[in-house]
Amino acid sequence: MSRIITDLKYSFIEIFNDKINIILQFIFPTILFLLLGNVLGGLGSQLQNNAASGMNYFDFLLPGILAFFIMTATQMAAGTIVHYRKSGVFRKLSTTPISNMEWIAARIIMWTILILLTLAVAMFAAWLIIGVHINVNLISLLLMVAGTALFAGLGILIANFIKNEEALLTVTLTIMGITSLVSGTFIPVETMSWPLQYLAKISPLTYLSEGLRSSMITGNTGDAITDLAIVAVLGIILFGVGAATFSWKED
Amino acid sequence: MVNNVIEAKSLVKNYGDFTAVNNISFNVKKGEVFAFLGPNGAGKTTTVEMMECLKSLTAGSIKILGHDIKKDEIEIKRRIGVLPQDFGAFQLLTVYQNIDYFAQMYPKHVEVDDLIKMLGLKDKRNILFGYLSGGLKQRVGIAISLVNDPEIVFLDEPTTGLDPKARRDVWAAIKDLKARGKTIILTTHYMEEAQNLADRVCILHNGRIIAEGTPEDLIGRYGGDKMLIIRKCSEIAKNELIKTIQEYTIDGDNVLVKLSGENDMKIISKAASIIDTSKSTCDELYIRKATLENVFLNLTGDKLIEGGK
Repeated sequence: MSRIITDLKYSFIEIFNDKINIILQFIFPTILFLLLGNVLGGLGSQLQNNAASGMNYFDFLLPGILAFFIMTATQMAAGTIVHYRKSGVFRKLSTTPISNMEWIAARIIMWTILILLTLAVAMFAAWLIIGVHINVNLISLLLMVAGTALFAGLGILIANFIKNEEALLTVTLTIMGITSLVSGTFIPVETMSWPLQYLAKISPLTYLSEGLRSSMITGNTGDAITDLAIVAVLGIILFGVGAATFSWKED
Repeated sequence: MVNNVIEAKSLVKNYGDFTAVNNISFNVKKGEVFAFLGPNGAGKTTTVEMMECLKSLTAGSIKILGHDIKKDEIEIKRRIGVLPQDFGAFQLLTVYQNIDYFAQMYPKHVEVDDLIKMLGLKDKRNILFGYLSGGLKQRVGIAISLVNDPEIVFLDEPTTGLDPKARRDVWAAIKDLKARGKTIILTTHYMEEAQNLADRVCILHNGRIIAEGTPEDLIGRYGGDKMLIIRKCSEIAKNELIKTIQEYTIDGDNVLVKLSGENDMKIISKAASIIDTSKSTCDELYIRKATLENVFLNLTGDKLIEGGK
């Protein structure tokens, strides 16, 4: 347990020592909502009229953006693993008593806390700048945690195959870009063509976005619980497989 | 046998069809500096990485401090210290934070500031690891390898890529560790390093041990003869020397005389007296001893340094 706490403590110090990265991590959501407020602000009434559910576009968009921030756990996990592998940190760690599992346990806690902090900043910025009403409840919190585990698991799996940082960036950005476009994150799934609607059905980000929308905006608890169950099961599978296949030995 | 802290028997490591380590056996005694010497690709790092629990064995057995490496990996990890090849630590943590991080990985560890003082890193204590020079990074690596007060310390090519000053600093640190009673396993492709630091040297070539012993013993057995070098001689001196001394070689203005052991002192004094009496001049007279480089060259036909034949 003390090894997990040590890794957790120093991983936070390391993250906060990376000033540029940490500023971007927390400033980006604020800038994003400032831009959205300006770009879409003039269309407020039109957006309201277009939404069948009574949601305006900002209401629709915010959970999608939060889900997108959660998906950055993929880049966080994969980036950390590939960087530590390349810089020789894993080589050194594997000669000490800490196990793969202890390290993964510490890091998933760290990634989750970091994602939750980013989401908190994003929600505050959205409320302050755009005035979106957000209802953060237990289901939405569980969705955020399960979503982080899911996408961190995906990151670990990707890092098992991609060995250099440049290729990793290309792969994760491609996956994140495509996934966010077809998952009802920024554009409603109903407005997309049938092949894209099919892709949306198999994308985990769809259920995360929808779950957050149901729990935080529309208050549709039944739908939110269903989406939470799907995200949780996928999270357990992806994170479980990622953690089980992760190794820092170089045999 | 009681004194052996490492007993390796019939070690084999294969990567697919390639055999990196081919049926080697050796023992390491408590308190000695044991060096694996060989060119790149000889199997040094693979051998030590099997002992460091970094790589599994294809065949054979290793006992470290009486523990079987296949059964007691955790116990062995608690009692050894490792500076792996291409060592890296957390770039955005300070020297102190890095050492403390690794110290906290062990149930028992030494005081971090004591290690910082011991390795001469006091003024770098609060500097980020990423900002350190190569030599300082290696010193931090050595400090980290000592956090658990290990009985055996593995240092895998600790001076590769360092400038001469940084290399000397690391050598001083290694000598200090030996003085503190640690057993040290060192890998290097620098013969000077092995000759300077090691009590015993194990020379590897193509995954096999080709010689093992103290540096003096290996040089005596395989290094070839010593050579008396008399440099920049005048014609008069050269003629006098070759009239009197047998088994010489002329190399421009230099006279090279093979010293085979029995009459060495006589030959040296003869040469000195000729130079003294002939009123001729020679710039310099010295004895060139064989080195581990000669040992390796004589045993394999290859040079130790990369690419040499």
